[in-house]
Amino acid sequence: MGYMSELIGACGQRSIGIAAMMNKGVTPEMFARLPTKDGKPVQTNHPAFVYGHLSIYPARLLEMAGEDPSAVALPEEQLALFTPKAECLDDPEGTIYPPMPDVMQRFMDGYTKALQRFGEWDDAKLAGPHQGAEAYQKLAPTLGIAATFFLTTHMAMHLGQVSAWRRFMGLGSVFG
Amino acid sequence: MGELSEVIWANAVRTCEIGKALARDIPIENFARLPMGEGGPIFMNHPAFVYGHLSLYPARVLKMAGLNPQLAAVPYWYEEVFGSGTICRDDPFAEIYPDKNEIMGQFDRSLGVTADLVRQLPDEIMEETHTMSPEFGSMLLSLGAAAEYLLNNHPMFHLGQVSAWRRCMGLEAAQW
Repeated sequence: MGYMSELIGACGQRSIGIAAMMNKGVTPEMFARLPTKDGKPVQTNHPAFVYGHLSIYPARLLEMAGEDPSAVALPEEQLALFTPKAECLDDPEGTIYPPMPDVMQRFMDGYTKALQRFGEWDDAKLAGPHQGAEAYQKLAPTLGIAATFFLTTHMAMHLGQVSAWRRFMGLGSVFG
Repeated sequence: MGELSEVIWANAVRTCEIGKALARDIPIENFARLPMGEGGPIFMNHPAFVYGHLSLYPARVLKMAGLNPQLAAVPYWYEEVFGSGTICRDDPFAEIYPDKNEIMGQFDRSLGVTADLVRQLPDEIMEETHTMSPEFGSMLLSLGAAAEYLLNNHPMFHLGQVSAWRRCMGLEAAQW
């Protein structure tokens, strides 16, 4: 393991740990619900959408590294639900999003496997280019910067949304 | 400049830009307001608290790296109102928190200065064990991991809270 992968991997592990903590007290019934304010839904991201959306990126990272992403890829039918352009929908009947255990299992499994593979990349590989699309080349010119984005930055932003969603739903802080 | 510090710098700069984009169209008068739910205020973090809180940490990174923390220091009393463990309060009359421009200036300056200084550090320093207390995170033992967390993961988590707060306050998704 290179030092860069050790460093970024540590932050990634912490992110996964926080992701698991964020589900404390969340029930399957509320997992895919939008909060309401003044009788109207608030168009913020609920956990089903967040964890499903995040589950796209372990495969994306492996693709960018030139590796086989199939072990962590989302099923085709779920990609449309969770793509960045998809709208997060209220799902009171549980007919739109996969059940909470399935979403969480795929999330944890995907990131655990991606981090394992990531840990095998040396610093030279991480300091080099990646095979991502042009938009990713602008966002992150090296594989290491792209990996930190997917394993830490991007995940942290969406977990912050779950943190705020928890408060909407009457749940407390998971810290302290 | 090392490869690790380059990654940490790139992430911190992007995080700073996302932070500023999320705040850009927030009216000054709403910056320190808690959203009101059907049963009263929703106790989530508002932008004044988030950006003030995030302004505390860059100086700690400099201190950990053996650099002068004064270069990123914020007013001493920020710790009292924004420190970890303090409660985010509704501030309709601007009696508790500084105004938006003051807080955003501190956020931008402290994070920007620190990112630029960290960028100049060699990787050997990033691999050293830092001196923060163990409860900070047993997985983030090196300066590099701690810097990556404090300049990227931690801010992005709180910026995700701002993202959700925006929706609750009727603002659209921010563009960056």
